[in-house]
Amino acid sequence: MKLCITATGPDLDSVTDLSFGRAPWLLIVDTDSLNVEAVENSSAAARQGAGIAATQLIVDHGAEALLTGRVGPKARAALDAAGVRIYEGLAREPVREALQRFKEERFSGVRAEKTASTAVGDSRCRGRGMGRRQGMGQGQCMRRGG
Amino acid sequence: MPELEPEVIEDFHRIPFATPMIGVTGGKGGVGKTTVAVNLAVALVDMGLRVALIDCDVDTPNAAILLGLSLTAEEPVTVTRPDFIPGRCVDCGQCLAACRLHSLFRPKAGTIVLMGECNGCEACFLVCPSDAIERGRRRIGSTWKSEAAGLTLYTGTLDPGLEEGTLVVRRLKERLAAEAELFDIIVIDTAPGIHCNVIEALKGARLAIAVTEPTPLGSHDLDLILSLLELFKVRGTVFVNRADLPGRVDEIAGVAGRHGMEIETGLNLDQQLLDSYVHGIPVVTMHPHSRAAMTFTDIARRIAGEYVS
Repeated sequence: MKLCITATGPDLDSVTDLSFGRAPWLLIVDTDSLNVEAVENSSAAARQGAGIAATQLIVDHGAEALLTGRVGPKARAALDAAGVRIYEGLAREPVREALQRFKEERFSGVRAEKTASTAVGDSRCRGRGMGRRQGMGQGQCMRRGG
Repeated sequence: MPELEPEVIEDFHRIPFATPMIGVTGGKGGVGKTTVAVNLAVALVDMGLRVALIDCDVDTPNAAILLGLSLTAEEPVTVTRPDFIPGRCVDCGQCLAACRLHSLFRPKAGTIVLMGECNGCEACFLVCPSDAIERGRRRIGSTWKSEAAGLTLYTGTLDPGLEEGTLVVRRLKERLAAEAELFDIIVIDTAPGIHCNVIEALKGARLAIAVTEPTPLGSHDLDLILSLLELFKVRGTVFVNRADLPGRVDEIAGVAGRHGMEIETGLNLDQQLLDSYVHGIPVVTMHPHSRAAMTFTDIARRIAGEYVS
């Protein structure tokens, strides 16, 4: 699967960027081969519509899913329209580690078919839910390690 | 201070009719712009002139309330919204690149959807090589025309939550322009502030009355509006409302002086003015012999003498 991970730099050793529309780099990663196509986000500094423009970029590059910190309402509507699965709750860490955690299925994806206006309310609920789940996951990990 | 290109200033002063326009503005909100505009307009009517009052404060228009008029003869104000015709798109992506708001989105080949805000600029429409976009309409507000004895009130209203106030002001002034020759003089009531709405409202004004009050906020905002008038080379005059507040009228005079102006009118808050305000009736109508009414009558005479032939 082609997964887009938002990043501060152009390769897997770069640190992730938690925003989607404003992220400087959009890394399109083939989760099987680990091939990376680094797409510079030309609209990161746009005054308006950065989320929609970023969605267009990753859709044009064939992304089927997005892993980022949080998705705004307009980007969510665009991602939904293009059928891109959204995984939120990315932490600040090297992209390689985020990818590893993704492959361990530590993020839960959503593919809502809602309008932009209803997606706003939904996104807040989802954000909280995933945050909690993510926290639990880390706790278990630490217990296992100890 | 920056200077504008001569063509911009020329365009600002170009109007398609001969009827003089007098602006009432002031920067700060709540200083009495509408009170001044309404009383000036009614005082001009009382002199036997045919007067249009145009309420360009499209976010919160309330000249009608002070005149006891209801808004009538509504005309909707709309802007272009792109409508995409399925099957005609050749997938060139030019509309996506042309949209400066990044509001267009192509979820799959041959399909364009409007996802974000649209300001009706028509860039996508202009660049489309295959006529895949048609002009749809989106409503942003209304213009209204209400008649009282000798006075015609034009009002613009922006629908709540929208940002296209300047366009409503422009349409309102176009509606007035078509009938401008019916009037001897036009009084413009602007919104507070120094933004595009106010600039559009003052476009073509021969004189702008800057209303203020002797408070720190009043002198600060007066400085801003007088700077705006200088920028567009509009003749200005300063009207101090509530001049008897225990504030610093000398500070207001200082601000006016820095812009090469004097305070031409001071108005104290007398009991009759307050009385008319709480009743929502112009003081020149309710208490025509009050000091406040005389002040407005005096300004009306001076303006008519200078601007109405």
